Amino acid sequence: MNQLFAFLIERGPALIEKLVQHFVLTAGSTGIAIIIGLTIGILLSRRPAAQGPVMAVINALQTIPSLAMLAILLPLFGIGTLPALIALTLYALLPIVRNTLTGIDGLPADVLEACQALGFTERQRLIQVELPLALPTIMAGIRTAAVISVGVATLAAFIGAGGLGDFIVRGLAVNNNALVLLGAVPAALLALALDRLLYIVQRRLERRRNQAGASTHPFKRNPVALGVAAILSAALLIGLFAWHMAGDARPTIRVASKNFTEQYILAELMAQMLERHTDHAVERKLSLGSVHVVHNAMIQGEVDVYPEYTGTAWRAILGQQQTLDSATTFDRVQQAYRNQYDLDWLPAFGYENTYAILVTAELARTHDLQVISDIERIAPELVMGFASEFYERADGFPALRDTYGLDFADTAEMDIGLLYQALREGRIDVAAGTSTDGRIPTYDLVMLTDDRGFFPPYDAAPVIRRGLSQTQPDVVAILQRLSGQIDATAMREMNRQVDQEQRSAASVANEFLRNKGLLEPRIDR
Amino acid sequence: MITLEQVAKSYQHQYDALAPLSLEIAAGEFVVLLGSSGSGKSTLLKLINRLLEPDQGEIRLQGRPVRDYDPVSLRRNIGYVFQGIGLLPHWSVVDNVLTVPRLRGDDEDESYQQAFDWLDRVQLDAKRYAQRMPDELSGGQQQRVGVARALASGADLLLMDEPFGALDAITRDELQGMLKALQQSLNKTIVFVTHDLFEAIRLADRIVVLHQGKIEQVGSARELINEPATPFVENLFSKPLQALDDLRLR
Repeated sequence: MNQLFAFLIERGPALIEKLVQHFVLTAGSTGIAIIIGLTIGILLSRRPAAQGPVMAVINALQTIPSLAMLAILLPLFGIGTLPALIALTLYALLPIVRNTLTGIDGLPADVLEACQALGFTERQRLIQVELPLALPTIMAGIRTAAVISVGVATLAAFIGAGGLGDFIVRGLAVNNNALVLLGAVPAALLALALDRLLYIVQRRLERRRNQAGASTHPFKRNPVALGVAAILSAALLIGLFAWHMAGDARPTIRVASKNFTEQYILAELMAQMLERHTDHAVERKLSLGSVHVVHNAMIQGEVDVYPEYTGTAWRAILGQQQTLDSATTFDRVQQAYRNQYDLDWLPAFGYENTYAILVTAELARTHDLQVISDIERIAPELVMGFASEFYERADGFPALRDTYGLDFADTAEMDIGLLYQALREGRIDVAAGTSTDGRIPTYDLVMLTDDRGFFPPYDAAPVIRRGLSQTQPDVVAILQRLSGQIDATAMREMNRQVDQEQRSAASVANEFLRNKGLLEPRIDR
Repeated sequence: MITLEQVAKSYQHQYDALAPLSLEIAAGEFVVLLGSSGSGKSTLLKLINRLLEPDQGEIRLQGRPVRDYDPVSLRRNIGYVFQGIGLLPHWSVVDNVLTVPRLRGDDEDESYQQAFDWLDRVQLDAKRYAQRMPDELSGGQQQRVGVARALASGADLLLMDEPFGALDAITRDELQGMLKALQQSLNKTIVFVTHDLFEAIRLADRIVVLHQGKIEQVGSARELINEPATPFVENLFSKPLQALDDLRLR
């Protein structure tokens, strides 16, 4: 119980921030979907011939898996809130359009005939009769849309839009169930609360409608005017929020990371140094999906700095096949990034995090395994596991398999956070982990030597947009203070504290900086 | 007041079509269009306020062709009472009565006062019922509201499409009495569609007998009974009257 309180107190401010982000994403997308969906629904009710084709398109949108949708929007709109809002809006459209159409089309014919005979114009009939009578059906659609949005918005974390999904993605990445629940439980509660809130709105609108004659005030007489006013004020709020986000005058440094433990810690180290020693506002864009997502975001200027490994850049981004020594690799990568991508590599942190081909100590003993070549003969009896990303990369599984002639019985793609546990529990026999993971000693795992020099050196270093490094020398100076400060043992220990002691990356990073005396005194600029 | 000149309307399915026909309706007259279903009587009614447009011929209102009127304002100035109830289910009684004045943008306070007067005139206790919703009222009460709504438009002409068709005999009798009295005291012109012979006899100054889209005869009930122009009209009246006579003799 105490642990729970401590956990909630530690994460409290972050929880509120993520909850607000999540609410803005959900309410914003639902609000936009209401405006667009009502319009489409109303137009369709006037044009029966268009109903089939338009509904087919909207239905098709709904069947695109959410992650695929985000992937499609990524090259068009980059990362962040905008593509997330677009994706969520597209998902929210279907229930609203369908219910608007059903609600209006389902009205009794004699009521509509009566309107015509009494001298209603099209517009008067729509606003005074059709929409109010269809209101319960339309509101049911809006409620469905809002609940769907809350759920899908948890995936927005993959493209840096924040929200409660950040906790879930990070929790999965660092194998921390409490963190997953910290995202999932408030998301579920938010969905229930929104549904309830909209139900109350619906009841109020219906009551207004039923007391219509009591007053001539337009809002009291006309529930639709009230509804439209509510939607407009929601849109206004969103607009203000967006304006506020865009209008922050201080130069903001956006620190990014990929979605695994070590990346969170490195990003925190950089962010906290910048917060401590510069006047810049620092924004964290953590948990971006993969090296390609972060790299694109850097090129697009959507984030400013993130930690990367030379070998990853060498193979996955630059597509180089040779394996060179550490210093040469760094120089070549630095050169190529500057020329091709207008990105700078700052001096390395001081340790290497290579891919580690891992087996349990027991398996290593039984078969006398020391180097990767040793597993070739028993590979047909083994199952190898790795993170999805490892399969797609140039320095990934297919190339490794071909280099060492490994013919495994089977392979398993899984979340990187679950990989070590799967290996320990014997569900897989070989894993492609990373050499600085704190679980290697704890789980009694053995790292096999890369005897054919397959993996390039993977020195960790900050990558920064040249647009920033050229104009803000203070930022470069501060980040350089981290150069050479972290060795593999220290990194492994920090990873262990996050992965196994369930501490936050921020507090582990902060402790490290304080112990190193990097936070005091404040550096004069 | 209303002149129909060689007016015809055809449908693919012939049902409810009208052959070319002419008819003159005077101001203050209570005219009943009598016929079975498919005779064209509802079609005729709907041509007057342009819910339907004729294929040929001309309809004139106060001497001016209806096609020269804007259909929306034309309808707002002609009262209409429906076969079904036709009240808007999401509006209270008084809001329903106020429908047309509000659509026209009439002065709200004045219209509101008048709405109460109209409710009283159709013998519905305005204070008690004004704020009720339609589904809290009986069928007869609802149709009283329907009549009040038609009168509240201030129209001199009311079109009524089998308004009492769905009511029970006793309620129908009450409403017929009320309507006839109102029509005489307010001097309204009413065109009333029904298939009920006795309703026609009770209400009409003149009855127009329609059959398969043609006018069989136009005249007072007395004329139709005593001097039927066609075998159809003779048949129409003689059989029920004969049945009544038989009962009386027995």
